[in-house]
Amino acid sequence: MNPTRPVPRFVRVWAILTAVVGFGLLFVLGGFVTSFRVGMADPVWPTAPWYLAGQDWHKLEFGFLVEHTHRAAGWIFGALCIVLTVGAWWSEPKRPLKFGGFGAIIALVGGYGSFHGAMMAAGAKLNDGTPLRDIDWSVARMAGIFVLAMAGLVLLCAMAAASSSRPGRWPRALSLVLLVAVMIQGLLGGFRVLLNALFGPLLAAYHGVFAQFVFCLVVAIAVLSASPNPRRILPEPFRGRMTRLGWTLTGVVFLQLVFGAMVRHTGTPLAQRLHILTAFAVAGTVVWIAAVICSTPAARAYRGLAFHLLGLLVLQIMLGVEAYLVKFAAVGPQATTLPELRTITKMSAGLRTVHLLVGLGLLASALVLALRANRAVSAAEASSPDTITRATRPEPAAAD
Amino acid sequence: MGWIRSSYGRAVFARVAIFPVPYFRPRVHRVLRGEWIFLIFCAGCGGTSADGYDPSLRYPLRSDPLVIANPPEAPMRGPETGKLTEWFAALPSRGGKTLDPTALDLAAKEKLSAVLEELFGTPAAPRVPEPAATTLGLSDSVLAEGSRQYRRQCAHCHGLTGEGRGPTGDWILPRPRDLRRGVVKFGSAPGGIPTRADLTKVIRRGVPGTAMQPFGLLSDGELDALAAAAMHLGIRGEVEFRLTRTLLEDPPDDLAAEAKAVTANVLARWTAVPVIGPTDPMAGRDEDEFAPPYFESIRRGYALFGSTKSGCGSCHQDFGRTEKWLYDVWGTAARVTDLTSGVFRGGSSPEELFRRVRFGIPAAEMPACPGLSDAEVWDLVHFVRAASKPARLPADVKAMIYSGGH
Repeated sequence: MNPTRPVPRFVRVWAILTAVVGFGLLFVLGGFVTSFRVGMADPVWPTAPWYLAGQDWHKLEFGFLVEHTHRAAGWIFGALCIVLTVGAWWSEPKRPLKFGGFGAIIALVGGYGSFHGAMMAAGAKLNDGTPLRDIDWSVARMAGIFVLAMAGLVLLCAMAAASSSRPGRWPRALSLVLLVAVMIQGLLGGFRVLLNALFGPLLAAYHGVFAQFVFCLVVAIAVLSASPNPRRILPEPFRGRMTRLGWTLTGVVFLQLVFGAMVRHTGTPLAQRLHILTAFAVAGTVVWIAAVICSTPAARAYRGLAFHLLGLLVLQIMLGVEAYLVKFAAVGPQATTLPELRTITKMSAGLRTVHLLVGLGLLASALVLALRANRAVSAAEASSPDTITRATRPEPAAAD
Repeated sequence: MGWIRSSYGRAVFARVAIFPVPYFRPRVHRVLRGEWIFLIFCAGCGGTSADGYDPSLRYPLRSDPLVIANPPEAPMRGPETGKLTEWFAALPSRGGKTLDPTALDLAAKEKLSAVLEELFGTPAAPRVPEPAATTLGLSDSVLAEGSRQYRRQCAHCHGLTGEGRGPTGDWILPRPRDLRRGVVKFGSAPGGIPTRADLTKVIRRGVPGTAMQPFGLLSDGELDALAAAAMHLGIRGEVEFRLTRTLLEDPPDDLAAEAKAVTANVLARWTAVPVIGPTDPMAGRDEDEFAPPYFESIRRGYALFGSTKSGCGSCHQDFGRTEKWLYDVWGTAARVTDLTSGVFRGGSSPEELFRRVRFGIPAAEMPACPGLSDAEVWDLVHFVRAASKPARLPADVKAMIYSGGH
C-alpha cells in the first residue's frame, strides 16, 4: 500500500463507484419518484430486494416501475455502502477495535436483514389470512431492538476511530456512520410508504433531505481516502479561511436543499421564499469563493474547482427558474387549480429532477472544496517519496 | 407480495408492529410538522395541504370530454399512463360518442359555474342542498373537514373535483377512480351508487392490486369525513355532467331551475340506495374448507363457471389469464380479472364476492346473474375464492385449471 494513502486504494475507488451509482441511479430515480409524485404508486412495503425481478415488466405501469426501480437502486446502493464500510474498516490498525468493529458491522447488517425478513414474514402471514392477533411479532421486535443496539455499537466504534490520531481515521469513522445512515435512509423510505396516511409527504421530504446527507458521507469518504496532493496544500492562514468558506458554502447549499425538498414535497409559500432567498446566499458565497481563489496565487490548484462551482451555479439558477415556472406558473385549465394538483408532464418532471441533481452536484462540490482545503499533510506523508515526486512535478496551468 | 393488497392488514400492521401509533401519533406528528421546524411548515403562512383550501378557490369546470357512449367493440387494451387525453380523443373514431365541455361559450360556463357553486359550495366550504344533506349526513362541518382531509390524502391522485386526474393519476394504472360519475365498481348496492359505509370501507382498506392505499391508520372520524367528501364530489360531479350535457345538446331557458331539478333527481338516487346483501351469508358455505362438501361445491362452481348459464367463461377466458379488456362507464377500459391471481380489488370476502356475482359490476360491464339460485352463486363464490389457491382445489379441478386440462 502506498504509505501516503490513508486507506487502501480500493476504498477510494469503491467510494467513487458508490457515489456515481448513488448520483446516477438512486438520485435520478428518487428525483423522478417525487417529480412524478409516484411515491405511493405501490403502497406495499416492505418488499424483497429482488421483488421487481419477479414481475412481468410488460404489465408494469410507469409510476410503479419508477417507484420500484428506485427501491431496487436503494438496495444496490446499500450493498455498495456495506462493501465500502467493510473495506474501509479493514485498514483500522488497532486490532481490538478492528475486530470489535467488524463484529458490530456483521451483527448490524444481519440484524437489519432479520428485521426486514421478519416484517415480510409477518406480512405474508397476514396475506394468508392469519388474524393479526395470531401473528408472532416478537421476531420483528427483537430484531428491531437488536439493530438499534448494534447501530449504537457501530457508532461507538466510529467515535473511537475518529478520536485516534492515525491516518485514515476519518474515512474509517465516516464509513461506519455511512452504514448506519444508509440503513436509516432505507427505513425512512419505507416508513414514508407505510405511514403515508399519517404524515403525508413529510416523511418523503425527510427521506429526500437525509439522502443528501448520506451522499455527502460517501463523497467525504472518497475525498478523504485519497492521497494528499501537495499542490492543494494551502498556506496558513489562507487554508483556514478557505476551509471556513468551503464549510459555509456547504452549509448554505445544504440549507437551500432542505428548503428545496420542502418546496418539492409540500410547496408551502414559506418554503418557496426561503428556497429562493437562500439561492442568493449560495450565489453570493460561490462568487465570493471564486473571487478569493482566483485572486490568490497560492490557490492556483483550486481554480478548476472554482470554475466548476461557478458553472454549476449558473446552470442551477437557470434550471431553478424553469423548475419554478413549470411547477407554479400555468395557463389555461391548469391555471384554475392548485399548483400541487397540476398535471405533470415528462418534460416538467425531467426539468425538476435535473434541478435536484445539479443542486446535489453543487453540494458535493462545496464539500469537496471544504475537505480539500482543510487537508494538511502529516509529517509522514510529507516525507514520502511519492509526495515529494508529486510536489516537484511540473504543474499544468489551472490543473485540478 | 399481495399480502397488503388483500386487506387493510398493512395499516393494522403498521399500527401494531411498528409502534403504538395511537399513543405516539399526536406527539410524533407535532414534532414532524409543527414545533422544532415550525418555521418551515409554518401553518400561519397558509401553506400546508393540511390547512385546507383557500376560501377564494373555486371548483374548476370540467374540461375533459363527457363520454356519452362507449365504442361497440371491446378495446384491445386500456389507456396507457400519461395518455388519457389521447385515449378520449380517439373514442369517437372507434364508434363512441363524446361531448367537449370546452365548446361551451364563456357566458354558459360562467352561468354553470355560478349554479354549481350555489348548490355545492367551494373547496373550502363545500355543501349539499337540504334536505338531502341531512338525510345523507353531509353537514357543512363534516364536508369542510372532509374537504380538508381530501386535499391532504386524496387530491394528488383523484384531483380537485374528483376527476381522477391529479398529478399522480396520470402515471399509475389502474387509474384513480373518477368520482364524478357518482358510481363505483364495488359497492353493496346493485346500481353502483356507493353507500357511506362502502366508501369508508374502501378508504380504510384500500383497493388491492392498485395504488389506492389503505388509510386504516386514520381515525374513524377522518375516514368518515373522507367518505363524505367523496360523496359530495360524486353528487356534484354527476350534476355537473348532466348539466354540461344539457347545455351542449339542448340548452335550457333557465339553467338554475334545470340545475335544481337535476340535483333533486341525483340526490333522490343517492338517498334511496337499496343495500341488498346475500339473503343468508352462511347459506351454502361450509366452515371446513377442506371437507368433501366444500370440494363438491367448488366442483359445481367450476362446472357452472364454464357453462352458458353463468356465462363467466366468456369474459374470464382461461379463468382470466387471457387478457381481455372491457369499456367502463367512465369511458376508459378495465382488464377482466385474472381469477388465478388471487387479487380481488373489491374485496375477497364471500359476501363481497356473492354480491359481485349476483349483481355484477354495472360500471364495468360485468353482467349480473339473476338467473342463478343463491346456492349456485355460493358455488361460484367458493370456486372463485379457491381458484388462486391450488392447495384448496379438488385434484380434478386443480388439474383442469393448472395443467391445461380444460
